[in-house]
Amino acid sequence: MAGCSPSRSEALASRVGSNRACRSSGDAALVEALRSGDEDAFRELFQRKSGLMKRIARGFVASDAVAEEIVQETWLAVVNGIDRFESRSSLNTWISSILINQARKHGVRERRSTPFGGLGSHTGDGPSVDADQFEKEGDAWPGHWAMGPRPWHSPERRLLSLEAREHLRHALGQLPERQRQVVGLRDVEGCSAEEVCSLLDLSEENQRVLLHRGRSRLRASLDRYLAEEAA
Amino acid sequence: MIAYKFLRAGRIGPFSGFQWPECGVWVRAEEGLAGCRTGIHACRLRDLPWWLANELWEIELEDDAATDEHKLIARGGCLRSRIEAWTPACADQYAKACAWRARDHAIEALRRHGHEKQAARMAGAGTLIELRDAAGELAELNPEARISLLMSQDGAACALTHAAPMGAYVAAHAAKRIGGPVAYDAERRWQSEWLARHLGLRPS
Amino acid sequence: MTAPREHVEEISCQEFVELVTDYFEGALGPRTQNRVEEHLVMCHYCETYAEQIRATMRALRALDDEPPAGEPSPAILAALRRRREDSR
Repeated sequence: MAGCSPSRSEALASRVGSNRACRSSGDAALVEALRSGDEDAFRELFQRKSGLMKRIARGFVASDAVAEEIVQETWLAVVNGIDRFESRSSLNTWISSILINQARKHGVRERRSTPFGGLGSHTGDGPSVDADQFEKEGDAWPGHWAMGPRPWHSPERRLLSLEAREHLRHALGQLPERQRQVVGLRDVEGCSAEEVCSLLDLSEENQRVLLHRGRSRLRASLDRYLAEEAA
Repeated sequence: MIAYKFLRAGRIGPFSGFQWPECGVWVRAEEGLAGCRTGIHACRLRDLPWWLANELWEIELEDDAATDEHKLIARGGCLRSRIEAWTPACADQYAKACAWRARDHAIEALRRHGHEKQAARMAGAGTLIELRDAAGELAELNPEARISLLMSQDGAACALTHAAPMGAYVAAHAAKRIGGPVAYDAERRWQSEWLARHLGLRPS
Repeated sequence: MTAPREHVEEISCQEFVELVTDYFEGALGPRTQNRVEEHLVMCHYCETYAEQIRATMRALRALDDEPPAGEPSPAILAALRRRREDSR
């Protein structure tokens, strides 16, 4: 009756699979190509990674245009700094850390220039599910679902529609900044918990709390979307 | 030692998603039984009520099996045979049996408050639907036994919707409501014994 | 088999929905892990909720389809050209 829990390594493996060309011997060839200014190899790498980099950058700043700037600045830093890459980490990780640094710099700049530092209208604290969905003291089953979550019918098919994905993208964009960053890196990009903690300078526990809040909100958002769509 | 293991349909671990091989093939966990996550999980007869799933298997465990609350953890295990008597029909019977038990606990609650007529009405319910409806009506009329009656109504609803594990949980809490944690434990023991009897299992 | 045993306090659904992420991450202590597993066997509502969180995670993974962010800037192309010239 109970389902199985996906392991982190499963989730990462499916991501690593698509990035595997970048690790091992793929990395060495790419680094060499970048060092010698191979424009075709660079364009291929740019095409492959920039979309994702933009989304990660978007987690730090208020606009698409700034996120694009960050991506361009990152690639420039990569091309100019490739001689300093020492293969201690993978190329991917190195590029990601440059990206995050650039994004942070912009994010800080933005916060300084807006009143109240752009904190956003709420911190995103509070229960994952409204307390009114559960029975209370004095009921037969305090703390248990009063009605139960609405079942999602055919979620795989419906959530893959273009419209559902746009809805989810929008909802992700609406998350408080740190939740958006963690969910984006963990669940969209497939980074490991360790990578995210290191990239965003978070303790394991804080990372999990942010992941939890972000996912809970997105689940609630999809729940509303699926209920409206069915109506 | 011989123990029991519930799996999802197709011999799949309910929490790990692990695909168990066919009978007679030993499965070993990674080195080091540190924490309850590494290791083969199984249960004794007394633990059965906590772990219900589609398939029930007899499993042989390596001798170093440790107890962890309601389960056993061992370094290795090997499925021996499927307990064929555990079927959806058996699960339904079990859910019904638990529903009548929750009813009995509600009757006890009513009697303690001197509501003999209401107790008799509950005792007279012949079907689950009658039970569910009687319990629901009486719960509105009876503040003192209200929770016990609602629990009994829920027990009947679980049996009607084939939700055996939830129905068993309801019965255990219905017992706890009138007799505290000791009664809860006794109810779970009753449930293990019911399962053992109907599945032809003997304590090892 | 008839020895008395400790009654263990179970978790509620309201507690489960706050533990679900730690459960998926494998970050629960052993006692809490037991409570969560036992709860999921019993509570098909929470199993549904957990499955919805998993579906949300799968839907997020499918967002990884962003089109490329434009073209490399002139500054980047110039930097690449300089490297090509330097390596001749």
